Amino acid sequence: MSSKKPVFKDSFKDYFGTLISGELDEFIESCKKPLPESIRVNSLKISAKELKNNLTAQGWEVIDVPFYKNALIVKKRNASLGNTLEHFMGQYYVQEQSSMIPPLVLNPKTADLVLDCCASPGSKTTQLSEMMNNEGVIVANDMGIGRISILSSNLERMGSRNVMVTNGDGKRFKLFPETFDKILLDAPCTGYGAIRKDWSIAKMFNPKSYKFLANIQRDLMMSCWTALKPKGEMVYSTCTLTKEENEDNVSEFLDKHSDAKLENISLKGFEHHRGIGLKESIRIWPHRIDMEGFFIAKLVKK
Amino acid sequence: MRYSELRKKETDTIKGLLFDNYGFSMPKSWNLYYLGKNKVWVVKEEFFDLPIQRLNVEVMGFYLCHFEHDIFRLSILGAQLVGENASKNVLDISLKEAWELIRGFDIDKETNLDATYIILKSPIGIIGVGKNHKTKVLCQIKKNRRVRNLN
Repeated sequence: MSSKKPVFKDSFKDYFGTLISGELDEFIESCKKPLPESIRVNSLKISAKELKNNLTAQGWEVIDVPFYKNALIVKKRNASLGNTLEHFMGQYYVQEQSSMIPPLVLNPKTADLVLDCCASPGSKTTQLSEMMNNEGVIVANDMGIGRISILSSNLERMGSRNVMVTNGDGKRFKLFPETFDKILLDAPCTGYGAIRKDWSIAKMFNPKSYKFLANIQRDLMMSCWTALKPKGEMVYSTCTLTKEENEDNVSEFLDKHSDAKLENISLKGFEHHRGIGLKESIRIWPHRIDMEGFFIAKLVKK
Repeated sequence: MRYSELRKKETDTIKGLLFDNYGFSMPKSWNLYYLGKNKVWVVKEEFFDLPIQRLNVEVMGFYLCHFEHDIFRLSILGAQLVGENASKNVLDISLKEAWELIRGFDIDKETNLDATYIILKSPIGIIGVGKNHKTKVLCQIKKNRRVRNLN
């Protein structure tokens, strides 16, 4: 934690109090609790069962994640998650449970051409690559040149071999119309869903920030939409909880794009975690489900 | 990104080195390209269906090996893929030795192997290659991949 005590400004409480009236205290309390530690097993290298057995033999306590067979929650460990031989070998990726959902919702097929628009550090890219069994092609883009080396390093560690790493602003993908079968847009956001990982995020609450980022997110959505093939699918996700960056963006996008349809996400265990006014999408509130806050919507091109 | 396909002669040399050093037959689907000086990558053909120059590609596929006139050193992933089907120059190491190597230390060990770079196989899998000094194995893991703290 980067801040010793979480500070929740009045403006933060006012804003989220309006969104979840009656649950604000629970929400604030949940933000003070650390996240459960979770890892994603890399089935390209080892099965979940085998890794679970290996870690258990070393004195770890790990339990299954109900919605994903390749995910484990670490209840007890005897080494830091990033400093084990298994991690070095790419047998697992330290990844928050919520962050595993967007690739599951996108559900790429082995022959697909997939764009991961804002890819670094590569948690979702490596998950997509694993789901595609290293077949097909993933274009993993990131704007920050410094972030590209982290992405490349994680791709090598995890044994992802079907990935092309590109560097540039995601808004340029409109220059490649109707190119991709599937697109993951895990957009840059204010990150209020990740307060449990970093309390300093709460201190930075500012309407200017989420309004500014909502504009960028809308531009990215439009650009990616142009790059999507007809009948293609796009998953839009953020790790934040403001309505402006999530449901409002998707609603406005649907209003402006007659060729877009919001598809219902059916994922076991998330039937009651729905977006505000957008019942097809998933919104994860950390006080309702013990995970990082997240929003996920799936759009299909007619 | 600047890239160039290896000439047939160079590809044949790498095929030969993989076979002579490790008894590994390189799959026909592996297209070898230089991405960076002396760095050989395996690149899928499908990548070239995309407008590579306009996309501003940084890397693609996977880094197989460093290849210079007198150096042929597999990457960690390269060693893992080759090592799965290698018939020689694979050294079994203990978990303790694997730990030493991934922390950046050399290990004292009789190898009885003849390749300059040998594949290191721990009980939980291949951790890369080490430089063979007959009674010692020198760590070849780059600093940014090493494990720094034990806990």
